[in-house]
Amino acid sequence: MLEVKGVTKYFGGLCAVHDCTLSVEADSITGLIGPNGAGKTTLFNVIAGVYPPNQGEVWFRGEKISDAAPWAIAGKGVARTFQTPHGFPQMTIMENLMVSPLRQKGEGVFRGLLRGARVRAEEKAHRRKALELLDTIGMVDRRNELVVNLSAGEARMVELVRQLMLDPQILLLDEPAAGINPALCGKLLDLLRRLRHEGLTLLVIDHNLSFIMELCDTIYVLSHGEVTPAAVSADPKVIEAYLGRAA
Amino acid sequence: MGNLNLGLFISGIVTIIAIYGILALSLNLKFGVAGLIDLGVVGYFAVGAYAFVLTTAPPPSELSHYSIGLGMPLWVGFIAAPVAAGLFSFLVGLPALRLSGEYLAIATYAAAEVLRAVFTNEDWLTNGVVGFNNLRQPFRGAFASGDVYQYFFMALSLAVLFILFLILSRLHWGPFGRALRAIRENEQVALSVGKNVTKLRIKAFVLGGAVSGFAAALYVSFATLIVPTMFVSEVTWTVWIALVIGGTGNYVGALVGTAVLVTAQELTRFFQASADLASVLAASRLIAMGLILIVIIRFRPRGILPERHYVDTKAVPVAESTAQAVSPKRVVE
Repeated sequence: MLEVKGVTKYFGGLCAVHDCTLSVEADSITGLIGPNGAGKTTLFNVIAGVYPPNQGEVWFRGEKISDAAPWAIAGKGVARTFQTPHGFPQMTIMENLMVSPLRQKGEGVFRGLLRGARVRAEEKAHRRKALELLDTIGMVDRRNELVVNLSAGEARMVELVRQLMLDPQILLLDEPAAGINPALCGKLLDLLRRLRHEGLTLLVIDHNLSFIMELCDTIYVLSHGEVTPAAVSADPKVIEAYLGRAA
Repeated sequence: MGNLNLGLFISGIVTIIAIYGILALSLNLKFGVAGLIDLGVVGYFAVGAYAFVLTTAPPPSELSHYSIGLGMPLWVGFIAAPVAAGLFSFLVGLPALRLSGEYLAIATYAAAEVLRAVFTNEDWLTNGVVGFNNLRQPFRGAFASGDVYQYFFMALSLAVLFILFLILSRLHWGPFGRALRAIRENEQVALSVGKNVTKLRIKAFVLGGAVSGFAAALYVSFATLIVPTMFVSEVTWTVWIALVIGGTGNYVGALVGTAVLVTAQELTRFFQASADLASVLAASRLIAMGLILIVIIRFRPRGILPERHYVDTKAVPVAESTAQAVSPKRVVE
């Protein structure tokens, strides 16, 4: 579904990602692990179009996306979350979610002003969906709070559901479990598994090995900008060989 | 010095507040809502003003330097001004909106300054420093008395201000305003949710420019003359200070800030003074502006009326089949 082919990204003389190749199968949960500074987030940014790669290409569903703008890539169904979940700080949780859906008709000046039946229907549908998503993370009652006032863990959950408002086909999660307490972490695992069953493909970066191993079908290891080894299956023996026994 | 004079004095101030208020609304859309640092406010205003004059001024006589005067009805001018100002905004915005923050500020400031130099020097177009005077005023013929007309003009300006305020407020709380605020809050995240940031910024920029075109048409009609020195950067600073005082991101705040600032400035005119003192009073207007700004920034850094946030008070539908409903209680506001 998503193919990263020989991607190399330099920042000046620093090679952040070197000749990285990986593929994400449809309906799978793929993990990407590696030490700090290994280039995981840079690779995400290349996939999402924030940085164009110096070499290599990114393909999504048989279409080359590595030369498209970030907003256009999001429009094709590739959503990503951010490591630091700032969101839109001075807007409410509800507005953070409502702003998200793609190609809103009311974003035009004239249609936004007239707010005809179609724009109203669209707004109503988006609000309903936002409430449903907030319900799954238990934050319906807090929908009018500003995102800047949320705790790190809460902001991360809002970050996740905000990107789900996009109805993506693949979701790239940058450390979704960081700063989330163990109780919430269990809920997060349930939510991510449920999303996969609903047909969403996931690519997950995390440091938390037990979290990654419990969740993922395939795991890639990124180290010093290189993918080593190519792919580690979730077979416990293989994992033990490469990473040691999970805690 | 009867009551009528006081009335006229106040109606003059209110008219100026309305005209500057429109400019403050325009800047609030661009900076307060969309986060664009535009220091070229006076530029779009000037383009709108000259567009109004050139479409409505009589054709040039043999003695005049200018070569365009379409002599069209005034309502055409009231359409031409926002269209031209919007068009000029588009031309400035297309390259400049690829820039951000302080770079955009410099580019827009430069555009406005260059434009003033052009209007000062291109006699064929603008009649240079002489400009145009004795301009026609809308519906002037319907009023025998100039005094009564001034009240009418005040009402006309307030009506235009009010309509533009309604339009911009409606956009603010809908999907368009929401997307602009999102871009202001976090450009990277806005891109990640598929917003074409450049396109939305250009829309805000052009709409803001067009709004200031209405202010321009009213302004030259009010002054009944146009010269390039009306379009110095002080206009830009005044509008900026008004917005910061009133509250960036809040359209009502923008108007309140304008009212406070213009009133404080114009009150210094109220004192009759000798020629010596007059120059002191003129300087005191700048001091008044600075003092108000300092006091506001010290004690109310987000302005008299800070930005308000959207509050969703509509009822929450009872969960249909959300299997994972976890919220223990529901508040229906």
